[in-house]
Amino acid sequence: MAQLTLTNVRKSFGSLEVLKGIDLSIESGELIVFVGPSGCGKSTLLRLIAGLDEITEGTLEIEGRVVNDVPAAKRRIAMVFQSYALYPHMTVRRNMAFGLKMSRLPRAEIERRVANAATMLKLEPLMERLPKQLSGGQRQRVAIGRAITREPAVFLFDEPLSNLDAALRVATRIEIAGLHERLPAATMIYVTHDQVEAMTLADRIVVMNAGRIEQVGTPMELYHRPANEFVAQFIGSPAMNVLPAEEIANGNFGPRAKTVGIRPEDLRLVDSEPLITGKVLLVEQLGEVTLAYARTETGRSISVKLPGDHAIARDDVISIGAPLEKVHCFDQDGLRVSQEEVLTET
Amino acid sequence: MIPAAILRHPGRLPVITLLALHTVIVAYPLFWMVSNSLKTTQEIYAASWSLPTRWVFENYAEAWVRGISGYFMNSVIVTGSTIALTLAISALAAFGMVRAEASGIGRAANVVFLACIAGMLVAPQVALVPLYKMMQTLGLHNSHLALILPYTAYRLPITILLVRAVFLAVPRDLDDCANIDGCNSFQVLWHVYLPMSRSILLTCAVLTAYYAWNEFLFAIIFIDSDRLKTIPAGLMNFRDALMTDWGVLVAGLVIAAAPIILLFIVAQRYFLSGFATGAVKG
Repeated sequence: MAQLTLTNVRKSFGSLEVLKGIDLSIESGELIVFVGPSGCGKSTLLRLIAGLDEITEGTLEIEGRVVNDVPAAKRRIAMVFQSYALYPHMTVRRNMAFGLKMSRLPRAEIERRVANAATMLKLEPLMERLPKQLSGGQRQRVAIGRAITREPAVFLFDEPLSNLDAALRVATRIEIAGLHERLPAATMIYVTHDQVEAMTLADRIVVMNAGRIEQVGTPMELYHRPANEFVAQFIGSPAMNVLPAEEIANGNFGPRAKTVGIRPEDLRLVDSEPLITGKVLLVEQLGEVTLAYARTETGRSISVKLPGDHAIARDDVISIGAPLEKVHCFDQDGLRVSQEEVLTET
Repeated sequence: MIPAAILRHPGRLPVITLLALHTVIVAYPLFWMVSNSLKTTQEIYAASWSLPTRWVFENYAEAWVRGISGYFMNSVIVTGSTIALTLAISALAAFGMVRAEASGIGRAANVVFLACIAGMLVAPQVALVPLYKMMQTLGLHNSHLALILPYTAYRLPITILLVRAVFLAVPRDLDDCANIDGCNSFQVLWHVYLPMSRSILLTCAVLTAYYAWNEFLFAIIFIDSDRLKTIPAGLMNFRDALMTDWGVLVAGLVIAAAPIILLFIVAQRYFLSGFATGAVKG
């Protein structure tokens, strides 16, 4: 049985429809990540699940019970906010215990849960401190600890790493992954616009765009078989190169293929029979890889990610090829054309 | 010797001189009052600028038993009630306005806010006669409520203005978090907003205390009974009753002024920070 089911969920603010019919099932114990560009509705969807905003249309079920009209506190959810949302006038201990106290749990039970969460996240030395006496990473750990004490059915994370510096982001990401392993029964929904977070944490990723779900799948499904042009370009960094099929040399990819996508890391420099040729505009040497940004003869920008060092310079003309099985084709509506169909045609 | 700090920043000298002068202007009358409250009437007439030759602490005891104690208690009741009522209503009103703005009905909230602020434009003198009639009609004339209610009404606009400014700065995520933690609206106000706004609430309490403790116009008009008079109104009778016993009268003035001065000293740290917050975030 699905732990959490959304059926045709819509949300409007006045005449502006932000979510345009979301259907999604999330299994118990799954870590699912909502990704998408700013304004795509991912945070709104999370707030609807949390019960912080009202659903305009559709139903939301948690553990088989429709919770559209159930207040946030009674949905068995806990939320970790981007801004940590720690009560500044309460110590770490009081912050973690506050929700439990409001639920009128016995004092001994509150102490047990707070102590467990503190041990799990190594917060014991910080328990009597105020939030202002903690670093950003410590604050986020307290926010996660507070969520753990609620022993929720569903954890909601709203861009929890956005306010952390790069090093702390990686450390906290590992911590959240560890938490997912230690609490295998807990369902986790994680909102981010950072695709590295999405790819590294998710059991499944939900890619959203303009209030709709574009694709749901495991990170590797999304990477290797994007359902459409949007997902293809959103997943992967640098973004996939997408060019009109007729601009690819010898490119007969079948009648349905209107555009062709090739990931920068799948492109190679070739001596003969190139798929694309381009003039280099910029080269970035990162040691492990070389990133080259070029412009094709038809004026389109492409990026190429080559392993190791390469002696490419600005204004060089490069010939680029790619294995056929790494080529993604999309029809006139931007939808994926199956690999089999493409390979048959070529 | 000139302090090193001034030598390093000679431009500050005029400012320091001005502030020193201001301190003397403010502090000297207080010093004069305390000094003369410890003299006999004869000594006040003979040498009002000098220190007392004999310290007459009896002036305080006599002022207290001759009526100041009653006025003092009335002032405590009126001031305390005004502070409690003003803070309670202002916090609820400000919270309502902030919440309304967050729920997308900001225009309506702004209209209510402007209506509240408009109260600052009505001078007490203008409202005196209508208020007097109203108190008579409601049967409140010559009672503590005859002072508490108008005082509260006159303190609400500025208090709402200050408290709302601080409430607006409370992050929306804390509201959401408190909702998830199981708080209803009142509990969000009680457990989150009020503790986070202690500085401004204390500032507003001090300002309200200052106003209610020293208010004179309503105090002499809305209260007839000597038994219910507050200190500023009571001291008028006190002087008449004591005729020329100036030592005792000045001791009464010290008793009247002391609570507010003490309150300012105790609350100074919060008062300054709360005022700064209100000023910047407004």
